[in-house]
Amino acid sequence: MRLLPTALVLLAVAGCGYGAVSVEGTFDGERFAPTGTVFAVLDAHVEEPRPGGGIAVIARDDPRLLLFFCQPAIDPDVDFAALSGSEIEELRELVRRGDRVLLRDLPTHATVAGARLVLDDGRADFALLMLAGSAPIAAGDSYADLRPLGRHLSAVLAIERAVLAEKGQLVGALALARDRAADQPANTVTGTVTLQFDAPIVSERIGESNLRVLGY
Amino acid sequence: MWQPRGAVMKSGRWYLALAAVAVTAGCGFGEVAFSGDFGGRPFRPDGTAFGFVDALERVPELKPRDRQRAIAVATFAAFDPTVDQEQLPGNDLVDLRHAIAVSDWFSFWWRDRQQVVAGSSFTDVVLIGDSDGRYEDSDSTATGRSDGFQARFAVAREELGAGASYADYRPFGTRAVVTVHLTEASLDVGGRLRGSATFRIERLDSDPADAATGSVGGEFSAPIVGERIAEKNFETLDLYNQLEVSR
Repeated sequence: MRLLPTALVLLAVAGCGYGAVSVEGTFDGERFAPTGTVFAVLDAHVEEPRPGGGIAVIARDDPRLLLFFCQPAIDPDVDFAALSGSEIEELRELVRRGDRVLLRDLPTHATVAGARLVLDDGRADFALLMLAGSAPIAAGDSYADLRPLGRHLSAVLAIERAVLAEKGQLVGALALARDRAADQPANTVTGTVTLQFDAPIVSERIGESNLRVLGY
Repeated sequence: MWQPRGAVMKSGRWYLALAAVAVTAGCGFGEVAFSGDFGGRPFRPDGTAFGFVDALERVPELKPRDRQRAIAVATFAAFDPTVDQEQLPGNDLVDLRHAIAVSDWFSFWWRDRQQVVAGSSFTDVVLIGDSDGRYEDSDSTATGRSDGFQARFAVAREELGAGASYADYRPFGTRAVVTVHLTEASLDVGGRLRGSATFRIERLDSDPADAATGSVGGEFSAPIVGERIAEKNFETLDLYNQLEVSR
């Protein structure tokens, strides 16, 4: 029989997530709530193939941050690749069905308290992946009920506190705006959702491995 | 908080054994008894060992090969290669594939079964690939390699703890020398390949000073199973790809 780490049991019983996220706003009434888990990874190393084979781990000249939100509460301190194959599939599916956001390439030198990082048509301080979950549909639902999501995205990340080290913390607010692209219909879903977050920084090696297992 | 159905393991190695056993009626097939380690990392592909002769090829219809190949493989994951693994329930099949992919294994491949006789010895020099711990490319510049023989192996993926950082990361030496000596080579179905094997990982000058090296070896006995069931299971479990066996 396998053992369940005590910390994981307690979190599960208490119903807590990992990190803390609260949401303000909707996209035209559509909830966007990647609130179960938030964590950051300080990406300070890169794995590169060594000449002659193998992997070399090289310190980056320009460390950057990843910031990940997802709807289910999962524990990124657990090595997902060490789960069974079917548990990995279950976890991937659970995450895929929910709302999630991934910010990549946040420059650490600019991620300081009081900073405001922007992604819009004229500025790209980071890369953004924003994916809406898959809501259940009923037998009578038709495509007539389906409103397209605005494809024109922009985001502002306001940093309140940044302790950029393993076991550190990133606190701030991420405002995500959906707007109608030029070729989208008038009923396109638009709006702004702001995620207030307090994200633990998990260890780089396990954090990156877990994001890879999840497909990011 | 989401948690795995069974719970999270404390040790990937015994967990994987349990996972594999859970999907099979038996516990292991063939025998592998190795000792030693690579800088503290064990190598115990002792859950399943079997071999087969690849006598037919599809071009596109089945026809006899000009030279019949011989293959022996071993994995830490335990399964019965005489049972069609495609019949497993989906989740069990996914579990078994993953267990094979992340645990210890080796494969030996001979281009011509005529080479495979009792008393013969074989050597391959193998380089680590893009994934750490996975020796998957023969060193074409090395001397002493046996013609028509390929050895491949991988050391189980290291389980990462909550605080896993690159400060803890220790790569493997780039090169490995694999030697095999056969004491029995009965290649008909029901026969077996038996002998000893040694896997010695070496550091190249270009490797980090702390790269893991060492030697693991011992005895193995791989029962010969039928070609059709063996190849079906190779396809089902993705063993050609996972165990780097030439088709």
